[in-house]
Amino acid sequence: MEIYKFTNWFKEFGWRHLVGLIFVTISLYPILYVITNSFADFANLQNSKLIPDSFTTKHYASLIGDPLIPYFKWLLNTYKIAGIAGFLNVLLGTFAAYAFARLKFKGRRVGLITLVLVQMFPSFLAFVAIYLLFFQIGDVAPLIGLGTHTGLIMVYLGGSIGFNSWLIKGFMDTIPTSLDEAAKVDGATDFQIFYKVVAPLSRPIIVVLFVITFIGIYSDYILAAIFLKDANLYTVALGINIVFMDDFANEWGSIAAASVIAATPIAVLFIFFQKQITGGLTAGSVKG
Amino acid sequence: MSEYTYINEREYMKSNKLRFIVFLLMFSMIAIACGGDATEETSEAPETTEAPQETLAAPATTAPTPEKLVIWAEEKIAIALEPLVGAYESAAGVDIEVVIYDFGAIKNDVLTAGPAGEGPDLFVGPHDMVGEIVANGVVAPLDLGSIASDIFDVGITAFSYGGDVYGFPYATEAIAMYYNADLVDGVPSTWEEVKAACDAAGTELCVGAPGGGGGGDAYHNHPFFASDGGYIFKFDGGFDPNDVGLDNAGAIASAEYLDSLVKNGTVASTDYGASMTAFQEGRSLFWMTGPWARNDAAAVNYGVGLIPTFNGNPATPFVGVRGMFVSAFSENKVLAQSFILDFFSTVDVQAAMYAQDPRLPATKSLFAVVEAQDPIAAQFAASASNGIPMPNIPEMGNVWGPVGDAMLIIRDQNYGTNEDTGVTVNSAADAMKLAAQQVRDAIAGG
Amino acid sequence: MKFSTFVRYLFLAVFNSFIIYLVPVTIAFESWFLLTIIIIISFLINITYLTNRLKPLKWITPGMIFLLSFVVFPAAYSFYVSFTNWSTGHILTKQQAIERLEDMTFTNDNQKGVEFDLYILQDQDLDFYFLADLDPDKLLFGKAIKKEEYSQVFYATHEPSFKDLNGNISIPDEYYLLSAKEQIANSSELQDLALLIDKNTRVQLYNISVFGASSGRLLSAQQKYSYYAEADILYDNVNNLECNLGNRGNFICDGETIDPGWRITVGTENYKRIVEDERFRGPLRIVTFWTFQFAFFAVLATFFIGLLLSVTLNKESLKFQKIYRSIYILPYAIPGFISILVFKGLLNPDFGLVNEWFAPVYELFNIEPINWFRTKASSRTAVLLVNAWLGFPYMFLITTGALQSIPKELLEAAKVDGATSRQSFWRITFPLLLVSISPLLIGAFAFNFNNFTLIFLLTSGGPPIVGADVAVGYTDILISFTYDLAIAGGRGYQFGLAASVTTIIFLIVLLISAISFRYSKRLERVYGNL
Repeated sequence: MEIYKFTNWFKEFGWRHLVGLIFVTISLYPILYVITNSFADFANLQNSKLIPDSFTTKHYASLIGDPLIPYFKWLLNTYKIAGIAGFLNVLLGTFAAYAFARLKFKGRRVGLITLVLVQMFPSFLAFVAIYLLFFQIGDVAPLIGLGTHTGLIMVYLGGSIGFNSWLIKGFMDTIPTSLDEAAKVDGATDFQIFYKVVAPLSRPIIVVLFVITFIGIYSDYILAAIFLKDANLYTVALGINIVFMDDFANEWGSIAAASVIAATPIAVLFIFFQKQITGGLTAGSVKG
Repeated sequence: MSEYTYINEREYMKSNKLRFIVFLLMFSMIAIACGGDATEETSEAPETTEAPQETLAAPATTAPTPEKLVIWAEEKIAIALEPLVGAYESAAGVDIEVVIYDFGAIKNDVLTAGPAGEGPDLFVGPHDMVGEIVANGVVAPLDLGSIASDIFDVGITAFSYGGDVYGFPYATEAIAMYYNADLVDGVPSTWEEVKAACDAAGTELCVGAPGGGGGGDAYHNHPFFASDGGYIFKFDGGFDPNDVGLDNAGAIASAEYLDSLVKNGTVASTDYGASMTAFQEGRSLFWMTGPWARNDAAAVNYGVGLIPTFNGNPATPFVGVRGMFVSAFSENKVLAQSFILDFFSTVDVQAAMYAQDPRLPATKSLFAVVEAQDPIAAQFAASASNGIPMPNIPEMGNVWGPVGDAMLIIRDQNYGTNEDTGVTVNSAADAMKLAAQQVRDAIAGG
Repeated sequence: MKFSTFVRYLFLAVFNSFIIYLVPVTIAFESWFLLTIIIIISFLINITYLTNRLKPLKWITPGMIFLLSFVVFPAAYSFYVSFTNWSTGHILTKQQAIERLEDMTFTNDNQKGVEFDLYILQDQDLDFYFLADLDPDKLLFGKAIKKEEYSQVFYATHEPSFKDLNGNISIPDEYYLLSAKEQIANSSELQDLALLIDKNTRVQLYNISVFGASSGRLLSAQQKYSYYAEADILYDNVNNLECNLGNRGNFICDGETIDPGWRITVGTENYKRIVEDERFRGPLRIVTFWTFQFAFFAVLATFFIGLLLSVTLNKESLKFQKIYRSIYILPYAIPGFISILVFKGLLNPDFGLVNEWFAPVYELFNIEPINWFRTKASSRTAVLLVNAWLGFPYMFLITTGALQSIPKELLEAAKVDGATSRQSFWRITFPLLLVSISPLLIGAFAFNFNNFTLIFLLTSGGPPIVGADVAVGYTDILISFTYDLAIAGGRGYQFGLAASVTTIIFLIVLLISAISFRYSKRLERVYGNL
């Protein structure tokens, strides 16, 4: 009897937990390694010490007290840039997606695919072009030129339509048009249908895309390096790259500590957000 | 029905036209208002700094816009410079803006920004980009005058190209040999004695030298092929890209000697990370790398000595030199030159820079001060004095890949025939010959 | 008029007046890139919002502005560069190169190394005079003149009276001695002036000293090169040579190309080089093949893991569901490049934690510890494994979100019809998932095709392919190979060549994506765009 219960449980739940735990280990292990290294006296990512010989908090201290390393400014900059750019990115993407999903016009599919394909151009030399372009922008409108957060955010918005729009559009396609029609009967305009009906129902995918965009911007240091030269304006990724990394000598302790501090609020945010992702709609819940 | 719609359409069109006209009116009103400002702005927009005409026999009472210098430097230098430039700014009446540029990116940034008119007046960078920035016309020559006698030869060589000097060298660095002071008293002068010391100490690895273990590194491996007559490009007033010495007798002899050292376990097959770990954990007796690693080496009680000799010749490491350049696109070269010659090169400023970012000074006067305080630095300097600067010609870019790969074969003992290219490398000599051929082909073919 | 229409017109009015303000400023700065973009954007916005028609465009235009400016423009620029010879020695415009060449000075042998104190004087008319203290019987004084005035022959004269008995400078009253600060304030003008000593020598202010006396240098009175526009010839004044135009954007003097040169368009030469150069062929073949393999398996691995996890957790009543989900997106919280470096350390074959941990496993199966990064197979595996770790949270997120969109009634209906969970998964869930996710997979393929950061940081291209004609490694993908080509080869900095390779990569990716989209279109038709 017990075994029967157990096998049943295993078939329904147990295997899930097994797989789940395996991947928990795989996911967490390197993260754990970073955390312990942030407390290690001679932090070195190439050694085999998960638990370091001697503990110290000096790496964290170096981030707080040093006026030459305005780490908390970096944190604020990062969250600000990634948050604003992520939000705007998703906003613009949702607008475009709505057009492709709901408005009938010729060449919808081709247009959307083109937008997606255009983004696939390797950005190798794009950075040079953007650098030159923003020199010129900086002459004319210094508020959005090189060395400003605004300019950087604008470049991140270049990727707003394209993939994001395709995904959101795909999701919107699962929302039955009967809802639209119901609203139209009540006299709603396109825009009202958008923000009263379609967009709220697309919340799961929008949230997911916000998270993904946020993370993408948060990890970027190449584009940020082109724009930001003042240490007070750095993002965390850029700051780590410039201050703590050298040709050979990387200060692993500080890198680890900086990563841990930066990652913690994001991890907390994930826990909050994943409720949004899963507690979502069901496409067929509202019938006619 | 249709008449009704037709009439409606006409009215619709009319109201549309009406809207359009209203809109145009609004728009043109605003445009004119702002357009007025625009024309005023246009005349101001292109800035020409006119030299203020001084009234005779009296200093200027109203300060015209002061001259401005923009300096691009990597972070530690910029941070060291910031408090110091204040003194110069007040003494000279100029505005100095120090902008932080990532050291690794500065070459590309200067090459892009300078011609676009957005470059700096002065910039700090490594010496190996000299050839490239000269060939692109981005840097102006700098006549150091009497200051040149205070600079070590290696610094002048590093900044020389085509007969002219192109910057002020202020720091050098080269690798030497760290040793674990708890287990050995110093670095022996021959490799045989090194092996004996390792056997006596019983460490797992003997010499942890980067440039093996899958991580090709021509920089760290340089002494292994260049100390006994081998060279990459012949230096004769300038580096000659047509004279590649990777496969001459001296280079091959040294490479084969390295091969024997690897075979008998003296030189371990480690990349940078592994060599650092090994030294930190006491698993290797020696660590062959540069002064940037002092903080990491401090995990054990360490000392620094010279790299052992090759066939009686002192080891020849690569020397990297950092210096300050004057941009060819600077609008005020005299001021830029003055900043270097009159201020930056003085011992006080150099000493302040050293305090922020300790690197071996390239100036003899500062070096004497540092040497007294820091015997470890003296060891690195001694090692550098036997070294040669990395060739600063643009063709050097072709060298890192092939040479690093060739040394990797020897260090990792990866001999054999490659299945994809069919090329056979069975000895150190083969590896060096292959590297030489690849470098020559790359320079010729581009 | 409706309120919304009023707002629209107001916005357009403000926007257009802003544009009208910007355009002349942009032209004044000669910022042609910016001007083009401004014109296109204002065109776009006006067309979109002026009329009541073109509704879809109204939704798309905001995002389109940024796409055009920061994706399309750089791509177009890159495409343009591929037709130039932008490389070392050829980055300036012809105008700039000639300016640089004419700026060059030279010193005769007897002028070299001569350094002396230089004093700057000014007279009533605000003209500048130099006083050069060359040696005791050469205290030369004269008017400082511009290049154009040299032929007017204002030679310096020896004025011993300007120094008093103690060796201090004492000048007549009609002149004013400039202090260092004043010299600096006038430095822009002073740097163009020189004092002619004789036909071949001039004195130039070289170093304004705030802490001592300014110093000057001797230079030849002639500049090194002179450019003659009508004949388009550069004249070498030192060696008395005529230098003609080469055909690669250079002047050639006596057989030697002179630096700097300038950028010229070379048509399809870069493309031809890639296709025809024997040395590239072998490496290109290997690299291209591996790039396809890498991108494909990378997508496969991340998608498989992501899907596995989201399906595993897709049970309402599963305990700890939230915790699992949160943990699986944690790898995302650490910036990618740091994770890559962490793995580089973990996988270190000598001391890294992975080999330490697996030591008992190696012993159990009696195999050698994996020699990470030193062999072709281990490097390629390492790259895929690390990429899988980095990428599975993304796939997990997306598939979880997409799973939500599959109508539950379908699955309930299937259950009613007696389908097992496995059948309903493969016959219903999976195809529907593919339909909505396929563009993502295509996008992931394109992303990994160009995943430069991973390769660069983890293996730098990986174990070298010994004996290849150009330096290339076993984990090099097309984009990292391009990067190596750009910085090495010839005289380095071969951006024109790199741009052409980039364009070819784009065309390849474009082709594959276009084909895949067609295929997914068929899928959509079959399974319906629900």
